[in-house]
Amino acid sequence: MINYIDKIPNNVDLGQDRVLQRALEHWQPAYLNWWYDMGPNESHAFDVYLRTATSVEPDGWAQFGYVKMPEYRWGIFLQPRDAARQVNFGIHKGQGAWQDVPAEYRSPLRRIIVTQGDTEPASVEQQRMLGMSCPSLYDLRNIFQVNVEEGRHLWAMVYLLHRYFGRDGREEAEALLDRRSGDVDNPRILGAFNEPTPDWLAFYMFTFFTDRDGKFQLSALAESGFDPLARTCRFMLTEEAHHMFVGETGVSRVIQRTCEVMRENKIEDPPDVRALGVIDLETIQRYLNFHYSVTLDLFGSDASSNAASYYTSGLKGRFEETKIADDHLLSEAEYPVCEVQNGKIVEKKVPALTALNERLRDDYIREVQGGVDRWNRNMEKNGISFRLKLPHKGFHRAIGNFAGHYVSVDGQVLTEEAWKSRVQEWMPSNADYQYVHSLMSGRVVESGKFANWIAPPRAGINNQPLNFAYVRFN
Amino acid sequence: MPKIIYVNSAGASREIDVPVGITVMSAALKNGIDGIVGECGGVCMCSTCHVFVDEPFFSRLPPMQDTEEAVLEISAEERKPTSRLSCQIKMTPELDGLVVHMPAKQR
Repeated sequence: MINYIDKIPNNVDLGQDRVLQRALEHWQPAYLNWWYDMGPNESHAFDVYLRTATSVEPDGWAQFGYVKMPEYRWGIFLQPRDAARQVNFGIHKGQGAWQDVPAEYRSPLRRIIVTQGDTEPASVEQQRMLGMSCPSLYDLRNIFQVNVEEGRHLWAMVYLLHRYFGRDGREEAEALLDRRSGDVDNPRILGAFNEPTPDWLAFYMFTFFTDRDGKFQLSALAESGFDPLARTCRFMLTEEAHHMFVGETGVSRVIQRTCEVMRENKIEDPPDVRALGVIDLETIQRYLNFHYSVTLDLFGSDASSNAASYYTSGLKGRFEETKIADDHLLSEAEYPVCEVQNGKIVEKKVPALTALNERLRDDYIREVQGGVDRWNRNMEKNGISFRLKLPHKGFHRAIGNFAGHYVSVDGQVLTEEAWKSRVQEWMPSNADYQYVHSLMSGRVVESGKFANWIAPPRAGINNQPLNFAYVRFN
Repeated sequence: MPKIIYVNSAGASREIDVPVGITVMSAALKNGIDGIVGECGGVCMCSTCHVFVDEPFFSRLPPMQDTEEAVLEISAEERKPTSRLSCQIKMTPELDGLVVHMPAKQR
């Protein structure tokens, strides 16, 4: 069970390790300072109807109630230990899962944890101004829930750094609070986490596409031979599921509202749609192209010796590793990757060990396609013929085999000049951002009301009605 | 103990004895049933424990609450009239012999 008596809620017997407890209690005020500086803007006095973890068991781990966000019980929650768990892949396959960091893997494990940990505060920073333009109290509560849980995920990674990596770990934990999303001098580690999230459509796209990258990374780390990391990530995944729900249903509600307006007014052209104060489907497609492509980069290079090394060492597995029927060594296996040769995209087989990033990216693409199909079903049900499409995976890529190439959304390799001449068809323009921003100039704070550009959800949170006061402004 | 019969999309079934009070999702995870994921940990937020419930059991279930109704909208396989989230079905003696069919995909 979770200990809520301690200053830091936990289910890891933190009170038994006084040195660690003191170190984390020292980090806690620095974290709160960061939250006050970089957490949701002007929100600290609000009462927000949030869920808080009360158990790690699958029969209900959350309770709901009003909380001021700086008083949220951020804590350390790991899935229960399975004493029989083994390392399930790589050269240590069959050994008991490690309860401590093997000395030879100290540096790569720290790097993995820091990279994952850095994404958590980054997204809070990216979204910090959006509360000022929320389309409803329901949505405002959801972004705050996402934000506090990203904060808790930071706690999860900081616990591992403090508990298992000594002084180096403590320094890394401090640096996680020092970097800033988009800062020229001290940016966040990964590119997509330095991009702005300027509006609510971008937020929904981010939680659908980029939080789902987080899910796949956490799933791969949940297979780790380093058991505390695996158990930490398993519980983080349960929280992540809500973030993706917010993203998928958020985009779906924007589409729904646009389709209603198009149907009722028998219009299709974007200027006509915009004239009625909703977001045209073409702009939604351009946002999708942007968020999907920058998220694909987060999986890393198509061929990666680091990924191979992490796998062979038992540090980071594949998505659902233990459900895959193979030798879990991959010493002889191959995997197809794409590259550009003589102006054409060709597929070639490479050692599967080096292609693990690409395999995880492909797993991700399959799941994302499912969400896009559901959005398209929504349009079909509304009698609208427009369909959203994922661009080719080579489109707008800055990392991997496609970096430096100019690939169209349908997979044609173009010259730089030809690509740039069409970029406004494919990517959100300044005019698109300005238009979307113009719809979101203020926040909707009346219970049960929703901005004109988005449909209400089908149901409230925790079976509360839609007109429930999800946020009280005090 | 009441029984649950889990049937996968290929038609293969497994029968499990489960204590009263446990959810159909939780029983599946504890018994290694492939086909139920439970990504959100059983708090009705993800639809990866989607099942189709056989009659006469479907009509014996407590009615769906609004949140379950909403979350079923994002299920990987399109919902049917007998769709439920298995994290929201708690076993009772009246549900002894419950038959749930799992979709071909949950994500």
